[in-house]
Amino acid sequence: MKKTLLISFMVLCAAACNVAGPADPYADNLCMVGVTAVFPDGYEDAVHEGIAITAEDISLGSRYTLPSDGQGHAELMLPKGMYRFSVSDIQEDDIFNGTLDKVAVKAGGRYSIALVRSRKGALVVKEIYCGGCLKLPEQGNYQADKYVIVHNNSLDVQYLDSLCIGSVYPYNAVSTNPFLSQDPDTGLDVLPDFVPIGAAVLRIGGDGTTFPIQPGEDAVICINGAVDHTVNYNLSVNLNREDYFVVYSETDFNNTQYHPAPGDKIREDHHLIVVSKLSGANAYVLSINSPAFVIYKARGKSIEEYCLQSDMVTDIPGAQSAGRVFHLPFEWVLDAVEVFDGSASNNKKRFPSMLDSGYATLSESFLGHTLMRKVDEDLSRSMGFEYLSDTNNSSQDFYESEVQSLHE
Amino acid sequence: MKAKYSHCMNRLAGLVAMALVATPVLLEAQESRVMSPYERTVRENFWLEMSNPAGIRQDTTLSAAYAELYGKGAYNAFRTMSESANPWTAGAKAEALVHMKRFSLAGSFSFSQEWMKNCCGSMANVPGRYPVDVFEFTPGMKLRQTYGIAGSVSVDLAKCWRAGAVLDFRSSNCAKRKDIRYTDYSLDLEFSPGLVYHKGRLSFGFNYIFDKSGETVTAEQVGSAESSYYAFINKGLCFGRQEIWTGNGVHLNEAGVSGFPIRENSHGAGIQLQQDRLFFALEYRHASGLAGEKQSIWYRFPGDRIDLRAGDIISSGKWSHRIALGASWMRQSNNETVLDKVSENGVTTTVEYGSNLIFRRTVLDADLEYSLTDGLHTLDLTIGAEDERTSASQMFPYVVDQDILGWHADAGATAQMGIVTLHLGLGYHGGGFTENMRSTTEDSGVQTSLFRLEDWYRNDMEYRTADRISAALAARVMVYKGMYLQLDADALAAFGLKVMKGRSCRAGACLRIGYDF
Repeated sequence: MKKTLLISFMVLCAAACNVAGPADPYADNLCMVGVTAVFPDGYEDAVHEGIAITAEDISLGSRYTLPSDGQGHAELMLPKGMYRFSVSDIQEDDIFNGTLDKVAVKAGGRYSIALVRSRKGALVVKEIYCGGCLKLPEQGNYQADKYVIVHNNSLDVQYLDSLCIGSVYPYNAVSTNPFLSQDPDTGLDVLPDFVPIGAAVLRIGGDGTTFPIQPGEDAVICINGAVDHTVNYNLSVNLNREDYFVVYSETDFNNTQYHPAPGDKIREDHHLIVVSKLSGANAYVLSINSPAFVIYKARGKSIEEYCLQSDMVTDIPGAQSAGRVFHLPFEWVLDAVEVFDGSASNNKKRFPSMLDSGYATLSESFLGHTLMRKVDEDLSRSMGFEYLSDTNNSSQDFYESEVQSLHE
Repeated sequence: MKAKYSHCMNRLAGLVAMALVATPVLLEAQESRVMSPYERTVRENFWLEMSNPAGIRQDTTLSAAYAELYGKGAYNAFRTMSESANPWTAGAKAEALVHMKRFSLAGSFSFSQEWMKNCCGSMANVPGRYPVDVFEFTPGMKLRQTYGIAGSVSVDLAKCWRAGAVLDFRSSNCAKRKDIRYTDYSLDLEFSPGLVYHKGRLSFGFNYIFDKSGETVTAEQVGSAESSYYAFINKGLCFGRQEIWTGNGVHLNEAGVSGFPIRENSHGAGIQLQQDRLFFALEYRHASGLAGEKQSIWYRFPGDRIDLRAGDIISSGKWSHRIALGASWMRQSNNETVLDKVSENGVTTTVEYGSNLIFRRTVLDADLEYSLTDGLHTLDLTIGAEDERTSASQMFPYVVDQDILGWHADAGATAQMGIVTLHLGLGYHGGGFTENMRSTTEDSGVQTSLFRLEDWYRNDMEYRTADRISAALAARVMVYKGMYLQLDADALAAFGLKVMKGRSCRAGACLRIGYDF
């Protein structure tokens, strides 16, 4: 009897241990942080209540958004992690964006996001097709059919003459960025005060008015072959069309798989000019899963003159064999689109907030998916042409389409 | 009839029992078994069910050994998503217990090869053992080879003192041959030295327990496919992250780390008390586990475990009554670390910024056994229950609490008639679970939601908790001297199924050829 009671008591003791853990498992791991959106000089009065302040866990993808108070401040309770804080506020024609990337939050942390004012651009990137497609019915993947579409998003005629395209280094969003420095006060990563253009400096030719683009019209720039890719791979696109531009140079990009001779419909004056070849690759480099792409025009003097300046073209720190980069000033940028690899975590921003405060996501390569800028239906109706969304925040402006717009 | 384990296999039994408790394999139909003279000898000594090797000289004075080859086939319509519908196994096993004048030895050896067709799901050797697991979704042939070797010794040091030590080693190699193809190498090692003080009718034992286990999953894709292969990292209750298998989130292809390594070390101690045949033992283990290697430690999972065993053997004429109570309690938590790769002067290092608690579970289970035997006829009765409570907290502010309750009752009868021994077993298992998702605050501003592998979860929960009855039949024939031929057959039928409608049965058969020394 005593033995039975003893054993039963011990089992009951064990059962008492089998209780649920703490009611709040987050209690010991939460950090209360304060985030303040700081408007630029001259626009301090633009601060208002209800500015959306977003914190996104870079590794896990969880996202928290809270509205600010009247001073642009919000208190967020976040579990430990590496976060990207972002603010986006549109007031009539002014766009205020700001981003703080790779912040390891700690309890009591106070973070200020300096907002940058920008205006909607005239020329914008409408589509980036970089992910390639399947070779069906054959096996394998095909990625030599990349292209970009530029769109005139204004009421005025724009000219593509001397328009430059750029692929930002590092080419992939998950790669280590050698141009980062650390803020001595906060320890946060700081992007450089220029956009490091890799691969090559390319521009469209013309004398200034050779290549007009009407309001609402598009211009296709073939990053790889301007040929009919559908002859061999019917999930690809036909890029052998009149008025398409192409990255082609027999001397600088002699990889015929990625840069075959352009099709018969492509005019020679539509070949982009290689102003400066920055890497030893035999093909132009644009990431298949996470490019950072930019269009720009030089100011003051020609891009050729700038490329001759030693302070404008420098080696890549710690990776001289990877080539050199061109220091693109922020003011020259007409539009910038940051793309993150949807199949990876730890994507990192390469553009500052003033150029692109968010990112578009390409979920998977080799599926024929493309990144498209959204159409602003209301403004399109009022303006009478296709008007695209432009908030300088690719998270809001872009979506992933399952088929290329040029696919027939 | 529940399988009985020698002292060399008791830890592995505990391991398997813990995995059984923690995984959908809990309420499986028991394998039919006719006890050999070795197992009957071992059963007389409760010390052999615990981890103190010095106790192998307690109670039993008879030496016994056996060796056997076996082949098993099964049809598993009612199964978890990670099991094969038609597994085949072939193996060899030998166990021995030898008593000499001043010392005793026990040893075992085992090898098995399993063929599992159309298998996918968990890449782990024992799904559910660790709190984090990776799944893949392309069914293919999976092969597993398992090797086990154990040896223990107990020596009389003085008139009232015995010392002993045991070393138990088990390794398993698993390979899947279809993309995403992978290999999984696992290793389990336990070492335990112990002492027993015995005087008259009283005995007291103490032992230290060290356990080291680990496994590494290495995945690769050899061929090409129409679309990329996905993998899912299960961080608890089938919540986690699903992405392309090379993605950083599932950790199968992370730069600087070889595969998906996971390991656990535990330290513990046990005490045993015995008066006459009344036996009581308590063991405690504290485990520290981690997933990852070098600077990239993705998860840390500490745990504790308490095992209790009490029993008595009462002889009444030619009949012997054996009563045993077993209970275990374990708790485990998992913390996900916050890592960042920092580059300085071209050198990239991984920095850890703390961790978040994402998973906790506690499991309590208890079994009561009664056995009546006269050597030729045996009746076994077992009842048991299990309570597992789990809480997943992977995305603030969401918390998912789950409580699984299971119970079982088994009865078995064995009769020896000349050279033939027959066994019949019946069992009933039942269970249920509740789950509740809550939010610790309404002011978090969360915009995203948890991802769960819903179909897999519902299937595996039904497997764990559905009511079922099982039956087992075994016949052993002594062919020549100690050589025997044995055929086991078992079947299980589950009922009340909603997810696995039409897939309610399991059946298996095993042919054994062995020799009792």
